[in-house]
Amino acid sequence: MTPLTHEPVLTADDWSHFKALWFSLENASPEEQQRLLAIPTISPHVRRRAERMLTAAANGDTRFDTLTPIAFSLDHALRDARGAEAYAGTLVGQRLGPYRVVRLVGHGGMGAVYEAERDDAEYRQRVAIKTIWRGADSEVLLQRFRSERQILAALQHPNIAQLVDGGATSAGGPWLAMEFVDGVPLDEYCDRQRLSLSARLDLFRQVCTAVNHAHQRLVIHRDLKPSNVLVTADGTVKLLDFGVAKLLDDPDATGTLTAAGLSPFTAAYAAPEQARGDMASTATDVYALGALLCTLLTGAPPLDFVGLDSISRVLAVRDGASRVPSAIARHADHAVAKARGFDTPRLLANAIDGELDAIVLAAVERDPRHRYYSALALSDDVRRYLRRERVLAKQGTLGYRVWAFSRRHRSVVFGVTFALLTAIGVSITSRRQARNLRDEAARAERAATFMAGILSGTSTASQDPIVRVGPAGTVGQLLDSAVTRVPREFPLDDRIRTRLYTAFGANYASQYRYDRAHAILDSARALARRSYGSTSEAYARASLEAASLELVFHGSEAAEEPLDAARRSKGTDDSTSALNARVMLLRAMQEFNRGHIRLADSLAERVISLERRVRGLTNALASAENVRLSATSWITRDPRIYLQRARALETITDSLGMQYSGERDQAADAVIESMLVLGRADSAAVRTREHVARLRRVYGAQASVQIWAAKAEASLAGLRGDTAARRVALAGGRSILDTLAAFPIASRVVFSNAFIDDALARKNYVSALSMARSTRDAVLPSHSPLYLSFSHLYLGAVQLANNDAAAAEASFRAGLDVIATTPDLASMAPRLRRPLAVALAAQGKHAEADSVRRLDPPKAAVPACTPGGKWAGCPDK
Amino acid sequence: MIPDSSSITDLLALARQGDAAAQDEAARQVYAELRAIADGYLRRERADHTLQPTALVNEAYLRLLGQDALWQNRTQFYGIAAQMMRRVLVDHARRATAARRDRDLLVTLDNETVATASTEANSALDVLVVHDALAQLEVLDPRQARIVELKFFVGLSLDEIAEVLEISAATVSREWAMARAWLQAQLGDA
Repeated sequence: MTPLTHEPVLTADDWSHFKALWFSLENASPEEQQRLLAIPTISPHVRRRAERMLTAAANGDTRFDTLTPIAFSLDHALRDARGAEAYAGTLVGQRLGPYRVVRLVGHGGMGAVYEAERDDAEYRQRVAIKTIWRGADSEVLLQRFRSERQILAALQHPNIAQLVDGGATSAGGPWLAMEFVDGVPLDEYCDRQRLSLSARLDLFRQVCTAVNHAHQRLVIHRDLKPSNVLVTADGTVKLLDFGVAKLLDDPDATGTLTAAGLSPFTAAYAAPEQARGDMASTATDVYALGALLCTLLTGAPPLDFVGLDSISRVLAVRDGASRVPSAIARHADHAVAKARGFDTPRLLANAIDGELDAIVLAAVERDPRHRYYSALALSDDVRRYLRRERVLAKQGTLGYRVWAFSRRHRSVVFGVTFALLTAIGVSITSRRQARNLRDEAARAERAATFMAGILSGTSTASQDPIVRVGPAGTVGQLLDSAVTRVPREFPLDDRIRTRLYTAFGANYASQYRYDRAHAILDSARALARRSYGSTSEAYARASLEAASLELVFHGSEAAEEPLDAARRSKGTDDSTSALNARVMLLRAMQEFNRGHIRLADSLAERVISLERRVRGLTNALASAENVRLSATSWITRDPRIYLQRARALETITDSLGMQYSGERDQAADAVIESMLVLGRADSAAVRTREHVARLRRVYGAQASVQIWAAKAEASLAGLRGDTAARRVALAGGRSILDTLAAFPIASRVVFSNAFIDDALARKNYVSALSMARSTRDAVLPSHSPLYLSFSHLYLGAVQLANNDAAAAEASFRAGLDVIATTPDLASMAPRLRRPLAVALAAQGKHAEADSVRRLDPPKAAVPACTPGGKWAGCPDK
Repeated sequence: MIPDSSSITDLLALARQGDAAAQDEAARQVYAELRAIADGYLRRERADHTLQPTALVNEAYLRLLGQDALWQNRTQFYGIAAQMMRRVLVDHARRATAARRDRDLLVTLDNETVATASTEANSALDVLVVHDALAQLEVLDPRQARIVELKFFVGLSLDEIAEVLEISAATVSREWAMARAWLQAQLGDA
């Protein structure tokens, strides 16, 4: 059949030798190649073959590299002879109607574009002529063309390139003549001119107006993208190819996007309904306009196709979530920011954050019904933005009201609204997995509206309820009132109540209000199981919040049941899902509690790499970084690395807008702790002051936060050497702690240790002993070796100071017992054994004391410089 | 006769366990689907009739497996689809050749005409010529032939091919370079 070669074909046996020869030839110098080929054992036909291959490789023949040849070949096989002359270049010099074809401008998947001139006696006119590469079907096309032509000809607008003529070539191929536009693509123009955001928005509004003009005349573009929106030298916007896609497309054809070959470029501006093969509508153009706006603002479209193969691109267009424009901007190149008049991407992001984000996202909503109802509505909203009026995109939804409100009262509400937005936002994002899309979307919307009403106080007489009730406990009061209103507002909708209760529960948890959180999450779980089922995501989410609450307040074992329930959810089948990441994160925290520090660390590491790969920077990633930060103090035990990690976590939480989260607080705390360990008291003092100020500003007078603030103030006073102030701060914290039935275990241990250290220093043994006992009793039910070992250590130390050596011995031994089976906590052992030896000696058990002492190298006593005192060599300075 | 998505998923799963009959049946379904889609486009006389094999394969994938398929299925599917795409294209080319036997032949096995056609039509390669050369390569080095199929008949990137064949991208790149040179030499215009 084939070959052109008349040489003996290589046999399968020859092949492996030949392959080895080829690989050594491939990268060799020409001289080396000569030498290798001259080896006498190589048969002449192998040598010739190798030489031919080397020549072929050297010629850089790329015929096999792209798919185009195949597409062409298929054309050859299928097209009719009549279409043949439309191929590249062949029309140049010919006449089409009154036009003379001057040159080929370009060619693509659909056909070729030529520049042509009308050269009548009457006037000269330059036009762009499009031909279509097809043959046998020209009749159909021409028919359609004739009927559509009237409509397209009526499309006269200064910003739309006019369709002027059309006809058939001598061979029967159709052609279209359009106004010739000499310009550059819109995005390129804006960047070249270094236009500001508002100048870009003005140009964009021109595009919207033109699109709207066409829509009113029932013409849809269907292929809007920067290369179809040109700007001429005098700054006029011109839209190309209006109606052309429709004209050339089969009316009942589907799968437009798939057939178009799906270059990343095409896909970036294609609406989800196009990927689904649904009918295009004016909303399809609104989507493309939104994507175009995103590119103008941030330099990239809302969907990210980096690293995606073509099939993933279809799926991404169909189901992918749009990126938030300000987030794109934040990670953009400096050049992008500079081209828009900003010094850094961060400043550009700040300018886009909020209203422009909302406008773009409303335009690129996946459901066409949720987009702006027209290009004009989109344009009007942009105008509102330019005039600094409220934009529609944000009205009537949680987003806008909370945003506008928190602008006025940012410091007070930010923390709580952030958590609520996150909780509801999560529900909205995952609604696509719900069986009934529309109902779930409506539910999310109603839940969001309800929350907005609560938070902005629109249902009360006062405009500013938070200001009215004062700073103390205000956020909590808002939540309380919201909770009581839910059954009245949504008596019949279990699903909305599920959403809201889950969000409320998470928020109560973040305020350390265990009882409220526990009760409402119980309701949320019951409702979720009843209305969504026990393997639903809704049930999993409520269960995860419950697990997280129990983990913090009662330890690993209490968290087991809800965590297990979450793990059974269908949503965790997909190992890359957000739900799965959260389950893994909670497991990491659980294992940390159990003293399995290394396991916790590796689980957290997996969460981080999963999030980075699939979703980028997320709250789950920040929480996982926090777990790793805590693990550092046990695994590397190097305060410098601890400080580095803490700073990194600060950066992460800041770039996520989590300034007021628990993770941010932990990071600040860790920075201070490591600075103290490293002997940088001055920096630590500055950081502590900031930390206290932030806590107070965000949480107001909440009891739980007051305790943290008290601890921080005490350490600040300690740094100043003001023991009196330190005592007052700690006593204040303790009096609050005593009023709280439930308090996070870790916080309790840390605070108690600071308090006990101080009481011992002041020789107030009664106070120290009662604190140490109550702490141990509170921690006992958690079965956490991590926290228990500290509790026993401190109780023993107090008992020893109190001259109760026998009790102290029992405490230290209890401490050693709980860590006996957890190798990761081995560094606690010497710290328990040294005072144990002292307690033994005090009871006259010298032989036993000596044998305990021999287990460890001699060293100074318990480090006292940090709350945990867990650093290697810390007190030796 | 479009099978429901579960059946092809099941077939792929069976094929993974070494069930040759399931593999054949999966290939048959993929072939039928590719043909149906390609014929559909041609029958509907679409304007953009430069059928992109990648787009065809992707559409077949979406139709047969939907969006819920596992990644495993996807790579396996590509492996099968590349071979079936090759068959679809070859069948088309053969029918077209038969249909215009009397005309100015673009598709021919004659050496000279191939070269001329190549220059004329943007250096297009003839499907049948490639197919035959590839059939020879297949005997010598099946893996290189698979790589060429995935690259040339489906348009996957080297990274994507590496994933489908479960070998390193560096290996794909090396083997691809050799296969390409071999084909070029084989086609005689090197």
